[in-house]
Amino acid sequence: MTQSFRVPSGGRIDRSKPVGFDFNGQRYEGYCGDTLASALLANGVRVVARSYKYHRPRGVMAAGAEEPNALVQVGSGATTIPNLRATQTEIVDGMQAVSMNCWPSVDNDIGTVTGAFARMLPAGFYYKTFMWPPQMWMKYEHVIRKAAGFGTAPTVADPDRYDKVNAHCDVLVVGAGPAGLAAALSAAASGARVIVADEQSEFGGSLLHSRTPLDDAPATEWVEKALRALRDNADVTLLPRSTVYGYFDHNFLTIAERVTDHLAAAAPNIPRERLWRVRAKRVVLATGAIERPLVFPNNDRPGVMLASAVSVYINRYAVTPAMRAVVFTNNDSAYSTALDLADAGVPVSVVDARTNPGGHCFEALQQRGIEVLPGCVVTNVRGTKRISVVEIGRLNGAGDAIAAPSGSLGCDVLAMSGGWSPAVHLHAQSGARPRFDADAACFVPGESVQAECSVGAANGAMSLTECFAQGFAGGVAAAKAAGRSSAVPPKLPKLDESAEAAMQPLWLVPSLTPPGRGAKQFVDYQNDTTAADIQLAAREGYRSIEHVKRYTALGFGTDQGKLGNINGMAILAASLGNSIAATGTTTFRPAYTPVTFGTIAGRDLGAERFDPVRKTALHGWHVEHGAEFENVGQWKRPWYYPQSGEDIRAAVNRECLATRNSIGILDASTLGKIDVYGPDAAEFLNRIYTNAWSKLEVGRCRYGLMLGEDGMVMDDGVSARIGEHHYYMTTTTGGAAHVMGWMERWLQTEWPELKVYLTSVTDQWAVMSIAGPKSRSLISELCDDIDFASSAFPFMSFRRGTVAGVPARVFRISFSGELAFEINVPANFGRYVWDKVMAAGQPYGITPYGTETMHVLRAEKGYVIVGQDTDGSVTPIDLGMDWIVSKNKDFIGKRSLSRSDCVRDNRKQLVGLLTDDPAEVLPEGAQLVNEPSDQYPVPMVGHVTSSYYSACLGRSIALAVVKGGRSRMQGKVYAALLDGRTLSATIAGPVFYDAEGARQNV
Amino acid sequence: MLLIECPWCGPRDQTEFSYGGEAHIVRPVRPDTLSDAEWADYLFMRTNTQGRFREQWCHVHGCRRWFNVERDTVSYRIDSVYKVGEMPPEPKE
Amino acid sequence: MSEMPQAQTPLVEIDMARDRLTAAEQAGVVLAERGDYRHHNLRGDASDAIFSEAIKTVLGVDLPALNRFTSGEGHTLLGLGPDEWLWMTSAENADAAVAALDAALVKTFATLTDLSSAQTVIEVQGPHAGDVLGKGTPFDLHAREFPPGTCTQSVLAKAAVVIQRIDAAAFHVIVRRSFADYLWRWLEDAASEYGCRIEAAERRQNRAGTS
Ligand SMILES: [Zn+2]
Repeated sequence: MTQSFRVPSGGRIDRSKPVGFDFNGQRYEGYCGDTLASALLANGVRVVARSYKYHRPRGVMAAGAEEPNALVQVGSGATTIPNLRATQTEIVDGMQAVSMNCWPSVDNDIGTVTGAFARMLPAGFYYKTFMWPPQMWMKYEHVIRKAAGFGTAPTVADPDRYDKVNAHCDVLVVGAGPAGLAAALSAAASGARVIVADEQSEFGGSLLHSRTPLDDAPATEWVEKALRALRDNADVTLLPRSTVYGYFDHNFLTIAERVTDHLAAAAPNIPRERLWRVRAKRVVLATGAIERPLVFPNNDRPGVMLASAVSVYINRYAVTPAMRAVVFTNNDSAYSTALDLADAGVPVSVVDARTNPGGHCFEALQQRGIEVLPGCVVTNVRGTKRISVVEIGRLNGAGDAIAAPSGSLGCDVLAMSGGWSPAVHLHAQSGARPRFDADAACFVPGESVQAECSVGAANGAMSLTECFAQGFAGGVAAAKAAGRSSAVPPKLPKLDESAEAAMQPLWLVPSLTPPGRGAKQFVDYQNDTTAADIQLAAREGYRSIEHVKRYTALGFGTDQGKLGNINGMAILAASLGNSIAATGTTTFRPAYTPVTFGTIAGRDLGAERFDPVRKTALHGWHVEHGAEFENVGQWKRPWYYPQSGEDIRAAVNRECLATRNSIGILDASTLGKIDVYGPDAAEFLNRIYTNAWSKLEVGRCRYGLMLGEDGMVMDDGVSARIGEHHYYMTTTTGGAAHVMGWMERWLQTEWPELKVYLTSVTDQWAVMSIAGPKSRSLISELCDDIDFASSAFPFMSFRRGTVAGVPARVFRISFSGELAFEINVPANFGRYVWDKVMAAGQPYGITPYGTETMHVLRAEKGYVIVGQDTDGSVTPIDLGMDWIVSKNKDFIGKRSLSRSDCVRDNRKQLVGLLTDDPAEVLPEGAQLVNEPSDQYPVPMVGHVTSSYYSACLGRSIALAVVKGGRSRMQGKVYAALLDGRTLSATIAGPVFYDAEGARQNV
Repeated sequence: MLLIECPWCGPRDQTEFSYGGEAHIVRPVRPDTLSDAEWADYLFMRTNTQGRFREQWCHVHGCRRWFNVERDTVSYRIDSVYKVGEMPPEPKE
Repeated sequence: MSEMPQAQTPLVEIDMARDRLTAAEQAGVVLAERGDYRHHNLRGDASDAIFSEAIKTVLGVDLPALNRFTSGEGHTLLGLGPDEWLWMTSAENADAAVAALDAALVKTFATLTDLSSAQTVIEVQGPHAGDVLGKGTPFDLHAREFPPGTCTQSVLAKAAVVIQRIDAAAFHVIVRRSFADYLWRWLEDAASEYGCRIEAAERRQNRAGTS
């Protein structure tokens, strides 16, 4: 059977380009231009999936985004995508697609067992049955999920590229049907920057299958003319295969563009999908309308289709899915489907719920001799995997019940139309509330909240003439609102259209048996929600549509209820005796159709691009010398430099001892550095730091502590006075940007009278810290214009000079407790100077050390690291740093230090801990208790903040915060380990090495 | 994603800004004269307004200026922007 | 010391001499590091005559308004904030200009900070230059909104940058040293779909400046 349902001519497929593809393991052929759905229909494939809950066979029902059944997984392995609608998936040579929901197969399905016991699965079934007892849910879920079928996520990394772009426009037109194209033409003619996005492969929307000539020619010719005009305009961007899936604040919209999936082979480096992040001055929503299904028994059987979809398949794809068809409608639009079927040679009858259909559509059918059964409805459908017969009933006078059965009609396609629902999804996402138009029996856009308007069918306009008129007007208005205006308005196409007769709302088709008794009347196909389920929810007391949605799963599927919601709301309203307007809609949320994770992630993936990797000027040297790196914020910092065979502990022990005994060198370039300049700089620092800065002499340095206004330690660092009005501040690596922004904020918002300029110079300076007893000898060899004698260049001072021929700032400061010099040179010369220092240091055995050794050395000295030993709840008093807190001036956070909570005596205080077994290293973060106990909960008295093995001391050391710790010297605390053991430790002072500071003062 | 008009640079994407919380909270001139309760009021208490709210933003990836925004916390509509030290323009409605 | 200190621009790890990628005529995007500028941050009050006169006298260029730039005689001034400018220069007499400005600015509340090692310039040009930048910045680069002569600070990928519109198809992206390597790799990757060419510009042997 090869494409035996293909109409011999016509359509927009390219018959010269056959395309072979696999569906559920079977080979088929279609044409270039086919969707998977149209190609399957051309090949007579009717069952494409099993339903979610009852595993009923299902066929293609729609031709667009609203398709609830024909969900497929395309591709395999790393590039597979689940949840694609076959109706929107273009076939390409070699494509492999499988039904998402058909475990174990479409035709022979284990899940039909569920179908046979379907009465066991009413609405709320999961909640009532499987949620209790809760511990069993994990077991149920496994089986249910598998039986329900959600497609398969790839288990390996996706090799495809995905990308994002930011775009700006005056007017974003969503949808390129008649109204959208008209809006785009008129906006573009006004000189506006326009983006037109349409989810389909071709622009034109309903014009691609329209029977109405435009300017006395087929509508598609007008479409081509319009597209030429738009393409010729450099300020117009046309985005086919692009779904505007989200409408966010301030006219920010997101578009998922499918770039290459329709190509058998794409050029290299082209992204598979592209996420457009659009900021539009105005938005014109020309998203069209979605045809409503009718709710009657067995309305889900393969062959029951939306009437408009049947027309699309015939006219656009040259596929007639039927041998014999019945059209079931409550409005005129399906009459043109009857004509399309008749033109394609398919015998057709029309069942019309309206008692007195009339008007020109009706007459057109009469002229063609097509049978119309007025005042009748379909009461049942027979045939399981393919419909064969529809049963007809005649409505009573009130139209609310079947007066009498009225025979049956043989057919293999039932084309149904319950009217049209404007696609108000994006309008609603923008924050607006759609309103129910009782005359048109549909929700239409309400008052705009953002700068958007809806035009055409999306705005309830159901005639082509209206769609064009609204589109043109909307485009002109949008351009004008965006500041563009037109000299020459574009021309409307000429068309001949007669008015349609009124539709008759029909939310739940009257049937011979009440809902729940006879065959199921489906409301939401994707979730198998029936009319009976919604009525049950109402009987069980649910009143809010949002609750009914969650109870019955109405609209919960990947189609977000595009077909079913409106009928469901109407049925609920009737059950509650409310109006539809009062019942309202559920919330419309992004995404309009599912979006792949790849598109959302874009290129921001992997070690290089997920987050910036910041490198110092010395990074290359560290790599060349085998450093292991540690992430500190976004920076890569050398962690330690293992030599062959060394683990981290061996390397760190070696680095520590080398520094204490001779010379170590550390790349300290990542420290934050801020130039503070101005006549009020000292006053500013007085307010920012806890200690006083006015009397610091030029050429001297001072350690400073910054608090938040809450009195908690925020950052610290050494700052130097390098000129009369000029200070050079250092901050922690991680705190640099925050401190800069925070100081700028105080200057701008609270102290604008202070004459101070702040400039970040973090990246300007490469900083190398040489530490150890031999550091003075070494630096003296490299610098002949600074006197390094202790008396001439005392501890905590700064000198300008030339190191290895490069102008440098040298600071005599120490974070290791050793004699140490910090050399700052312009970063472009960092590597040059570092190489010179390393060469000159060779005879001293100069040893590069990383952050781990830096941590051990400073912990031996009891120096805290803000963010490690503090956590935003620690005051300087808690740290035992009262000495740095000025009593004589105000500073940020000072008042908080005397708040009652900050002066209570059981605050956690910084102490040292010495494990009773010196070989044991406490885990950082370990909670401390006073007594090991089996009585839970054990009161916790603090935790370990820093913990290392000290090679220099030959034992472990730790810093901790302990309640009232400073008054508990020699007291015991205990830490429970994950392996079940408990370590005991003795509380000590936090300084473990050279407490009098002799080593750095030589 | 908001579109915020920097009083210096014009309308820019929210990505370029950082948020600073409620505006017009002035640091007391003499914190040492305040009771714990008065200090806590300055330090911790914010109005948590539903509706029109005056807040601080910084054009941190632009001109680095702090400024004030009057924004509706329900609709996110921005009614006005004004520089530090200024009061918001009178509501138009 | 007789040896001349060797400088490395921030993009030292990028191999600019790679013989690969696209021929000039097929390149949608051409990337180059322009390491030949010296950068200084300049702060002052534009309404302060001492300040604005000093700039005009020493550099021969007027202070531009915010988000605009002015150029002349090897000097370019970019308006970064209401009281902040970036002065970039490739002029022969840059050392003298720095000294002259330092001397002139002492007379008022203004300051000049050397950032020559703190940042670099990545030149992005070609027919798709704007498309590549548009992938990473929320700023509107359309020539109607952002014509030659304008500049802006914004975000590009996840780095803070200054973007300068040189002409219809050329931009300068000024980025901090520590982000430069990340940003370059991001740009190269972003440009790959258009055909990306790398041009090895003269690496600067810059003077070490002052400390
Ligand atoms: Zn700004």
